[in-house]
Amino acid sequence: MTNFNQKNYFRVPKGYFEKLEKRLIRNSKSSSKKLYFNVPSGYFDTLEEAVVRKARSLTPPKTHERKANALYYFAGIAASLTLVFNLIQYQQNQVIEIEDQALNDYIENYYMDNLDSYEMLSMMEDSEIELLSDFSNKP
Amino acid sequence: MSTPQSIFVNALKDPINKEEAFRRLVSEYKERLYWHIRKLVLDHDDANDVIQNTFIKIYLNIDGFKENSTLFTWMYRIATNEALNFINSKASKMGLQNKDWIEAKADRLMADSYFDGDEAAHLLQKVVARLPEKQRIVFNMKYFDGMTYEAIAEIVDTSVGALKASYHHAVKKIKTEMNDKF
Repeated sequence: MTNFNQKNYFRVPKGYFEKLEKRLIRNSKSSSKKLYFNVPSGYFDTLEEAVVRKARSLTPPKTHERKANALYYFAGIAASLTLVFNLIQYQQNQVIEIEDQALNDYIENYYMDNLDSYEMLSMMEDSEIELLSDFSNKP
Repeated sequence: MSTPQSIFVNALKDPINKEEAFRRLVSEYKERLYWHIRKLVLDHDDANDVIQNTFIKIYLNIDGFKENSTLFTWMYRIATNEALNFINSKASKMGLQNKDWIEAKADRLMADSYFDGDEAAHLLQKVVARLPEKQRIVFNMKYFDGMTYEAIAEIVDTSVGALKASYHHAVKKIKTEMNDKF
């Protein structure tokens, strides 16, 4: 058998056959040359990443993530309800306090306007009268 | 017996391996599907939109793939439908027939920075754009991709006989128009 390598004086660039194989496979996958259509440089590399990223964003979360999410939802709802309840209660208390104050003012003003000092003293406890007299006796 | 395709399809359906398998699928088929779509929509930006939608449809519908055809045929069919739906939607938004929309695209090809064709190549694209939709699809698959009639028949769901007739009519029209111009 002929020893081909001994008679072959021709050389090819380093890695030529590896590149040739890749080039042939690439060309067999597309007919871009026949069509004269082109794509931007590096397009197919970015396409792959873009498609995988898009697909990943469509994937529903895994079961344990869903459970955790459900827990967060319920905790959020519970917290909101507590907050709303507390707000309502606070507002109600505030209304009652404001109403109490207004009533007291009204009664006090009524007493001041319509009752004489005797009638006013008759409604007070003895200790309160003493306290008042203590203050009034001071210079 | 499990074939390499069914093993791969199972990986695509398995939630744990799905993403990795899908990445391999995109890597393997992106160029072939892209060029198929590009020949139908002509413009790179449009082809980019359609190829992305095609892969997303494949990703979302892989669980429904029953392996009655090869994976490649199934994907080719999705890509074809996506491209035709895209043309339909674009044309109707502009109040045009699909054929008029694609003809307008073909007319403007010389101004497209991603088209390197000479006058003859441009003329061929313009003549192909004037073919009825089905003839255009069959011509592209047979002439540019060198696909067999059997494979095309499976994708476009038509008999081999009807496809041969479509291709024959398409070639005849193209030859007549090209001869008239040159």
